[in-house]
Amino acid sequence: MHYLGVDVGSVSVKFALIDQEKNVIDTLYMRNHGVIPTVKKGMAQFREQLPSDIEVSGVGATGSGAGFSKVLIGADVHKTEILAHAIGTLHFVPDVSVIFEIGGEDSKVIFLRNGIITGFEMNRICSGGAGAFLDSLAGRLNIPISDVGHLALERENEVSIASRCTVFATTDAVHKLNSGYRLEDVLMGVCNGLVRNYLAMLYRKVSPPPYTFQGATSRNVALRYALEQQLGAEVIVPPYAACLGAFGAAILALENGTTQTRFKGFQLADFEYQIRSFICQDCENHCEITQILQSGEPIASNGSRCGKRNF
Amino acid sequence: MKVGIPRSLFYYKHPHLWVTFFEELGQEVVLSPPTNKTLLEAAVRFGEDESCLAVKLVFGHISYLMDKCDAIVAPAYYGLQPGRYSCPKFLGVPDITKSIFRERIEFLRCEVDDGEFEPGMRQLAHTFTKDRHTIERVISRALDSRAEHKHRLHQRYRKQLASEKRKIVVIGHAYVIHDAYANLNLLAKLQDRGMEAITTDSVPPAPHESFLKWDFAYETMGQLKEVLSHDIAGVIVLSNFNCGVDAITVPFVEHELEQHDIPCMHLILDEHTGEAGMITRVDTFVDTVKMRERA
Repeated sequence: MHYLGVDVGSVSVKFALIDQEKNVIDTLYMRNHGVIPTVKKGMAQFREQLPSDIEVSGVGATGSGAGFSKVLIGADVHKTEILAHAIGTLHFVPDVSVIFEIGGEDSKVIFLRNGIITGFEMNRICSGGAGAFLDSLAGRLNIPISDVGHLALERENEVSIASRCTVFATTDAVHKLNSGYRLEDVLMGVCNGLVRNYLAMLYRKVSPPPYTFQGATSRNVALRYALEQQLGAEVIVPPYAACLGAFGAAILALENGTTQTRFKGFQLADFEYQIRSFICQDCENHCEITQILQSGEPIASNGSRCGKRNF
Repeated sequence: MKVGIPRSLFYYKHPHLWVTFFEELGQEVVLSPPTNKTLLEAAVRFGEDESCLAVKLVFGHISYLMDKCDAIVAPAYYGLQPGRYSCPKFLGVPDITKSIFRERIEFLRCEVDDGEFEPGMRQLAHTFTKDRHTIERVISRALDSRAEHKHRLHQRYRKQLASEKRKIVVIGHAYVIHDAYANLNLLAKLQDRGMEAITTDSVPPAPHESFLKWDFAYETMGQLKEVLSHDIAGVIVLSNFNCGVDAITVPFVEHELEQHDIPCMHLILDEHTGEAGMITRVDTFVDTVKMRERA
């Protein structure tokens, strides 16, 4: 018996498979290039790397793109990424007090007490200070995103980069590079600024450790370093830190006690899926309806304010 | 005369007051429809960029009314309670309208200071009729309709308190929490998740001392005191981006709730139409509230 967790975020899609004892069989992290092709490709690729005797008894979906993917994959439970992350983290760090998660477009801080979520903060109006900003800056500087952290730790001088708004931060970083600052110093300045802005926005209630740091950004050693420096405490990066949401979703699927899973199998490539969107003309709201079609028939639909076109 | 009332801002605080006032004066009232996509787009196009969404929306509603009426009601509320102040942005609506729209339209102003409606209403009514008895009757009917509305809200609040469901208090300006299109239907989302959504405008404020000078801040702290004397599961504060009054109010609310160990979530809205972010936050908040009970 195995349980699959799928976390569809704005920047990446994560898969995790666990057994009945919550042992991780494997995980997969992929860039999101459109929900349908990525989930399809991911499922096929994940199947390749798994042992052959897998029997999926339940599926959990999470993440901002879970709405469609749960239909696509046939998920039995659908929970928010905050809950999924908390459940996943508690498995490895049962006494965790604060979870710091910097995602692609969403940043979060989750507060816990005795294994219970007591509160959470998510970025509000603006996704500045999240991972996608670092990604686009790295792209602009022509550095692989995976090198940013190591390069930044080789800094020699403190460089201060504006952190309030990432548009300004980019301008500031590019300007400083053009006026001769070392790349490593500027990158560390950006990482420091990102963490400073993140903590200033979301971490206003100070709680005691243990702290964890996760999401794909936790692979960036400079961000982890900046976080530890600014918090003045050690930060644990749990195992599978980039895929903890998917792992949590798998646990939720296991604990859901599903007897008959809706799982459609790993071979989604056999199905022909399309996304269609149109403007509903029934009233003044002109809602943008998006539908997912399987062999020409809509199997999920959302976007309707009044609800009549949502299913 | 056809009198246009934008369904925005203080309309939501006392929906019947100005309708009654002008109908009693024998005028025809044209009310703009609830905010919809067309009005929101007009608001974003016409609204000046430093305003919050609610102030932008009033221009969306005015653009709808422009060719449907002879004059538009733009009450100038300096303060709705003695010694306290409303948001100054509302006062500029007639002047900003002049600079935005090429068409010209008359504005019917009524100044309200220290919560005193009568002097301004008397002045305004005088431009329609010189008959003193009529004027006094119009004013008392209008103010009665406002009092009745408040009474109905309080009744609903007491009914909601008696409900078996978990109670989530939604704090916000009436024009934010009741503009369902602009706030992505937050109240319905809470109800769909089995919650009893209590909006603060229905809560009679408990007597309290406060140095807060803004109407909204002062009233909210009193309403918070009242709801905290009951069993509530959580509080959601709903703000518009760029709201200065909320910037002052919300930290006081959060501090108070922390003292009482009640979960609080602050949502800030702008012209979003994507609901995913809102759904994630509401779902998580509801999960958190339920999880805490089991602890």
